[in-house]
This record gives sequence, structure tokens and C-alpha cells, in this order.
Amino acid sequence: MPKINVDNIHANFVRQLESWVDGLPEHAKDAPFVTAAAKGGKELSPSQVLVHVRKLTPLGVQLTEQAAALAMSDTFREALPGAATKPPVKPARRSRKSATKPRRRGPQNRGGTVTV
Amino acid sequence: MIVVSTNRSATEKALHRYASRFFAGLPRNGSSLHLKSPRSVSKNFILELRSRTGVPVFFFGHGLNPPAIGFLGDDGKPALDAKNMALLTRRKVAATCCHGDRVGSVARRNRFSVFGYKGLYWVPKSSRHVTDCEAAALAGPSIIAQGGSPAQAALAAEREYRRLAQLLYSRNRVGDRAFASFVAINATTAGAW
Repeated sequence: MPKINVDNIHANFVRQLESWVDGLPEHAKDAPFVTAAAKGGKELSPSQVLVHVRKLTPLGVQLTEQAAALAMSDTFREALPGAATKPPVKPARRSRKSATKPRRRGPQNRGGTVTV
Repeated sequence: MIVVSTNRSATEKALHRYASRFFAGLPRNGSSLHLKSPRSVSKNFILELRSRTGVPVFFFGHGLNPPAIGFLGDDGKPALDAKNMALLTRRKVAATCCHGDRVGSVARRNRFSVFGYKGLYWVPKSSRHVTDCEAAALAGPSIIAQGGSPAQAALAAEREYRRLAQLLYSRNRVGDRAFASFVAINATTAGAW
């Protein structure tokens, strides 16, 4: 399973946010991105989100903690057996003989219900 | 049931959209009311609370900032504050706003119960994220509407916001990962009082 370096989690998150903000058009960098549903409605632009995370303000710490948890759960899910990294299993091909001749099934195999 | 929403700022418009969808999903038996802009002000809110005793209340909008307790009306003034919290007696309240925990702090004293969010409740600005968040924003209120408890509503909201955060993180379109962290904060602050 891939390992996550906890020491680098903050630096990685800052890098991710920097690349997101850098890739935005100029007007979007300082436009509101999220708001809080409180009187006065505290609004945060992408640049302000980055500042909070960079400076590890209380909100920046909260965001980094959540980003770390999400990264870990994403890595964990990808590492699970049968995750997207594994090629899809092709259904077994039936031989020509068995494809033309109906298979005989016992009474328990006939459909989805069994009566006893 | 009484559904109240305000519609002034962009944040309130997103929450008003959720409120309208929520109200549209309630049974059409004449017992529910959607008090919306411009009528969602203190006078009308109090009038409806007095005439419909004991029914659940669903608020979508801005919470009052501490140390105040309550909800902001469409006129920018408190629609319900500490002085009239007794009007919530024997009701379940779903507070889709900031500082639901402040309302929760007077719930026991006034014999009502609340589902809401502790501290700030984050609402997206982009229409794509507003659409993404709808199911999570309505998960808690829907449980209350079905007769569930605020604690069950908080669990449902937490689960739905958590699921959405993971989905956004994996989807990773522009802004998704940054927004996923705010969504995950909403999951952690959903609570019942």
C-alpha cells in the first residue's frame, strides 16, 4: 500500500492550492469561492483560502486536516484489492458446444428461488 | 411544517434554492408553509409560529453571530432571537445556517431540539458546487420531515457531506479538492442539541 508522508501533508496541500489558484483567470482568484451562512456572510476567495492554509490559521488547520483525511481515504480506497488499478475481469468464454447446448441445471439452480 | 428561507445575498440564494426544493418534496396536505422572501421577516415568522404550534421548523439562511442567538430575517434584522426562543417549544428545528449550536445552547431550557451546524456552515458560490451540495444540505432536514430525531438528522448530514467530500476529492475538477475540505468541515460540524 502506498505510504503518505504526514510531515509533507501541509506542504503538499499548499502546493495543490497554489497550482489551483495559479491556473485560475485573474478575476476568479479574488472572487468569492465559499461563504459562511452567518450574518455578514464571511466570504473567501481562492487566494484567501490559500493564505489561510499557508499561514495555518485556525481555518487553515481545519482545512489541512480535512485534506489530509481525504487524501488518506482516497489512497486507501485505491489500494484496496479490486480497486480501479486492477484490470476488469473478462467473463469466461463458453465453448461452442456449451454455447449451443442448454446446460442442465438441478432443481436448486433453476431461477432465483428455492422451495423446500 | 414551517419552512423559512431568506434570499438577499448569494449565500442566501443558494440556501433558498435548497429550501424551495425541500418544500416541493413535502406532502401536499395543506399543513406545510414556505415563508420566503420578502415575507421571511420577524413579524411573519412569529405569527406562523404562534398559529402552528408544535410543528417542525426548517430554517435556511444566515444564523446570528455570537453572542446573539437565532436566525436572520430577509430584512437583515433578527427574524427570531433569544427573546422569542420560547416559540420553538415542543418543536424539532432544522437550522441550515451558521451557529446552529448557539440555538442549541438554549434548546433544553426552552424544551425544543435542534439539528444544525456548530460554528460556521460553508456554502459554495459556484453553481456547479451549489448543485453538488444539494443532497447533503437536505439530508438532515429530510430526516426531520420524516419524523426522525435531530440526532438522526445530524448523522445523515454527516454521512452525506462526508460522501460528497470524497466524491469531490476523487473527481478533482477545478476547485473540487479545495472545496472538498470545506464540505468535510460541514460533515464534522453537523450536530444535534
